[in-house]
Amino acid sequence: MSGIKQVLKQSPVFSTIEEDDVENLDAIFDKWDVHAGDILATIGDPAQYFFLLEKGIVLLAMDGGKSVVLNACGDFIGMELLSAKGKYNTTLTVLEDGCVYVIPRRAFLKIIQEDTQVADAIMSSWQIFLDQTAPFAKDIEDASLPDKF
Amino acid sequence: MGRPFKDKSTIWRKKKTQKSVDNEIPPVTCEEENADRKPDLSESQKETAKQFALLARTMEDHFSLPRLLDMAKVNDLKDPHINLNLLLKTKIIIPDGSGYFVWDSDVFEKITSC
Repeated sequence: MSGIKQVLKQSPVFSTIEEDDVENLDAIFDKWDVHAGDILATIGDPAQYFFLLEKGIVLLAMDGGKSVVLNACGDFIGMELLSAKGKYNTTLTVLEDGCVYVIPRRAFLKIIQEDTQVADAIMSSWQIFLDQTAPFAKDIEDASLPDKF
Repeated sequence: MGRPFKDKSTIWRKKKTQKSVDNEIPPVTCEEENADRKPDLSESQKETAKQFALLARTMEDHFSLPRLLDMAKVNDLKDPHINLNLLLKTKIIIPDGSGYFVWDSDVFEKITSC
């Protein structure tokens, strides 16, 4: 099994999706090596990518001083945790060398806006992941509709 | 419905405790092993940790981690990202669950004094 497939299987957000859907997602993700001090996203910039962590540690700094540190293989950094209305709402800084899988924001939103099982699985798992990882992020933006991300 | 990641680890820990009672050695994943291991700090890292401590002392009890990182950069602390990460790994800095972080003075004293 390739790296991205293994990470998707381990991810709390993507682990429930079917094998065929994993194959489709596999083609969309790109892999980046990241290094301590790298800034992957900056508040206010156009939101181009969402990120799936394979290795390393990242700090998500939200407007107002709140933040969350993500360090587990399969942690997903996207949607309201990272963007709102097409712009990044957090600054994402690498604290420890590693690698991330990158998916274009538009491509990801297209997937979750479709009326499919994979969209349902991702959105359900995402809400659980967000509740456990950064429930305070929900206070920042009402993200009830995908196009708000 | 997605499988809750954190809940999974909670269940795992319960099973581990149960197995320990039965005198069996439970398998430990790399992630768990790494998560439980606190890195030893070199003398240089201890010095930087003390500099971080001085900065943290100027902040609220529940402080902003990005703000601490910014202050470390402004004050030219050595390798601010790497050293901040060490403070997180050693649990000198721990999340308060609401988006802010707290400095554990007991852990800091224990690690920097040995």
